[in-house]
Amino acid sequence: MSSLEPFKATYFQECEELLVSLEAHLRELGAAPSSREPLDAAFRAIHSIKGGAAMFQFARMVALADALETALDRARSGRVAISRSMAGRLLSATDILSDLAEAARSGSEAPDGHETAALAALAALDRRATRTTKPAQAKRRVGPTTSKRTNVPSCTEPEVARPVAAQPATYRIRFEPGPELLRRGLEPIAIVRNLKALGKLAVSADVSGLPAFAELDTAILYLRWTFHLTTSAPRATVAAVFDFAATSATVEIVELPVSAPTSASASVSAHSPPASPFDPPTQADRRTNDRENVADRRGKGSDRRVGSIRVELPRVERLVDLVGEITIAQAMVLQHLDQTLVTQNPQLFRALTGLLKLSRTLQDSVMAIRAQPIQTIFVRMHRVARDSAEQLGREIELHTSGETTQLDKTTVEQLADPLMHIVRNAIFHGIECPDVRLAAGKPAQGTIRLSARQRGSRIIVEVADDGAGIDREAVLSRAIAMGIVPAGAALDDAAIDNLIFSPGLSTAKTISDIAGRGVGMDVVHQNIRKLGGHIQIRSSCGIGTTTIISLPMTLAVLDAMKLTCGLETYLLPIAHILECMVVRRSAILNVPGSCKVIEVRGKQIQLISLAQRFGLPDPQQSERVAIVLAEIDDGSVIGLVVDEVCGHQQIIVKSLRDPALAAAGFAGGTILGDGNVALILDVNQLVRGAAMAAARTPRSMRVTFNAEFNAA
Amino acid sequence: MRILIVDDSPTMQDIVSMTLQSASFQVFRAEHGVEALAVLDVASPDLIITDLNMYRMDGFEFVSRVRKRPEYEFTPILFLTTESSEDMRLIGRDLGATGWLLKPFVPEDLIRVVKSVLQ
Repeated sequence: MSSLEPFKATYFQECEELLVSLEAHLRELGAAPSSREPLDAAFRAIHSIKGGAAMFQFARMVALADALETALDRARSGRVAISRSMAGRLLSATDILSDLAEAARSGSEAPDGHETAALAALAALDRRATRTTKPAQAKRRVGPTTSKRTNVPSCTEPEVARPVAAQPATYRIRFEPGPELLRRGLEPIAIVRNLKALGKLAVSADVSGLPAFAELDTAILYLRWTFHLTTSAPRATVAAVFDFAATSATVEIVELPVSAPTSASASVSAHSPPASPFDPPTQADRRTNDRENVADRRGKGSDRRVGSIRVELPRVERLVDLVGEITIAQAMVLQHLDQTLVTQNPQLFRALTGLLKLSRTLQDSVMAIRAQPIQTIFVRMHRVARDSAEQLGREIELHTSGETTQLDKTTVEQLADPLMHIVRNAIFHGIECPDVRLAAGKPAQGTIRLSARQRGSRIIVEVADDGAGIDREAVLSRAIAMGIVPAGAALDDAAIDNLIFSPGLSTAKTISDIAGRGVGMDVVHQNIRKLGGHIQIRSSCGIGTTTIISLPMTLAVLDAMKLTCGLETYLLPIAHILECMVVRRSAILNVPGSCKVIEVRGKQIQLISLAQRFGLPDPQQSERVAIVLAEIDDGSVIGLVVDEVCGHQQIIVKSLRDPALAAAGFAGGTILGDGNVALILDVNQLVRGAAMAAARTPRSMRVTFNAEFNAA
Repeated sequence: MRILIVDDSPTMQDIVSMTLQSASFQVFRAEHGVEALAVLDVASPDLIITDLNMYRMDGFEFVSRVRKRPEYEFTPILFLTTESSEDMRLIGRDLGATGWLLKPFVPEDLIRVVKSVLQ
């Protein structure tokens, strides 16, 4: 079906959304097993996933989705009650289905038998359901999705009359589909399912028609089946199951006598009437009284979906870009506008103010297009927690809150890995084994709380566990052993906790090595930094650890402070800035080894002079200079010496093509209101450069500065 | 000829509409019954193809409501669904549907059926 190739991308996107929705609804169901809405919504999601998968012939997805659908359908028809454990199994199967979808998307194959366990678990649910069902109920004909259908009057046609009074009979059905059945888009599994809905079914498949593996054509069906069906449905109903398949299959239905089920007493080769894909009814066939009943049958729409359209990302990015340009163009207009002209024309003033307001709103609205709820990654964390907990024999409950908090799409995508690592870390190093927990007077089950909330223009994401807390002694001794902290340094608890983020420490076995994952907390730290965020850790011995991530809502627009030095203008992202101050030149101390420091409230802070760094004329004549205290990635603080701090500005970040500029300490460029170009400072790179220049400074001295400031 | 497609799966909407457009039909789309009813008069379809399982309003309810409008009393309506149970098919028929097509389908078959219905 190569003609469908262009639709695959749409399907995979839809499938991903459906899987997220399915998982969320199943979780809801686990928490409140008797609620109807999540059940219906979960059913619809899996139904759509299956439908699409069948269209593209992703057979493994279809099989698993079908098993899930069957299980959910049984719950819908009230034949099996949803329990927490059942919801758990359905969730595990959903995980596997995601894997299959991912494999299909990447054009690879999931490992053989990847879904076997999930299918078996679902089949077990099925058996349990059959066992616990009352016999009378089991015999009643209930097809898939026939929940609450009993109040629908049956049709007048004799062959499909309700088989309430009929005696159960056993049929042996031989089903030999023609090889082209699959090509016609028919699923044998649907036939099996429909038969199963009629009564007690035993299936045996004849695989003798299978050719050698190399000769297998996936579009051809090589199997034949023999079914033994015990049902009180009339023969016609049984035959109708094969209705659509009949033109390309041989179907033989034999009723077996109750006493001697092996000998055939009546043999009818039921070639059902040729399946016509449609079946025009006469006007008389329409029975208006059915309509109300049918309308009653349905649950109320439970999706909270609102109308949406799909747009390619580049189009949105173009829009974001244009809005940025408008902001700049507008600033240029204002800059060049004669001030007296504006003050003398109140109408012009009002019009301008209105324009400014509008373009600000436009900017916010465009940014909101890229915003996504953080739910998409929170949902994934449940699986991470499940898998890790299982692997380690811990009992974990993961609570999430604030899933609807919106973040920039890119941020959401790039937050997934760090968050996953933090959650794993919390389980590996935080949550203790159940017996240890019980001994400490805690519940055996550990709790991890994942939350997101908006604070001003930033989003705060927290991962809190109720585990043992950070083993500070181990961290400190490891850090001293690795030379990150000088021996005998007096660090307070917070400083020790944050040592977790130091590069190198992450590889230490005792602290945060996650078996085989190869990512340390320092990488998490770096990734969060790349998103313009901060990360902090707070731990309390025996009570738990909380990791706090603060992220900007959008990446395209940056809040920055405008700095001047010589005749140049620079911008520094506000996220880095702790404090700005104006000091006398004489307050700057020279430390032997070409390093300048300043004392701020008893702490010495290393300084970097932008003028010196970039070889700008240093206006020695001014008696005072401005110093901007900025925090860098390792949590230490440096001071940038500039001429003047000119104020806050929103800027549109433009990337730099010249790698030399990045190496020199610039993160990007922007266009200012006056039309001039200015560079955005990358403090981390500046410090790295400074460190090279100050290589002669004794190592321990620099470390002491950092450590001391950490303790602040 | 104008055809209204009602399906909550964007993938299905795409596939069905591209298939029909390739056969020079004019296609209108709706995501569920509610939306379909809203666009019905604008689309003024010669044929309606609808899914069964949809949120907000499913295919059965949609069809029964369409049939209550005199101007659409004889407009052919095809179900296009993965639902293969006889019960469901009969409900659909009793509600006034013209035919019952199964997903997955072969595009050429769909065109063939649509053409024969519209003859």
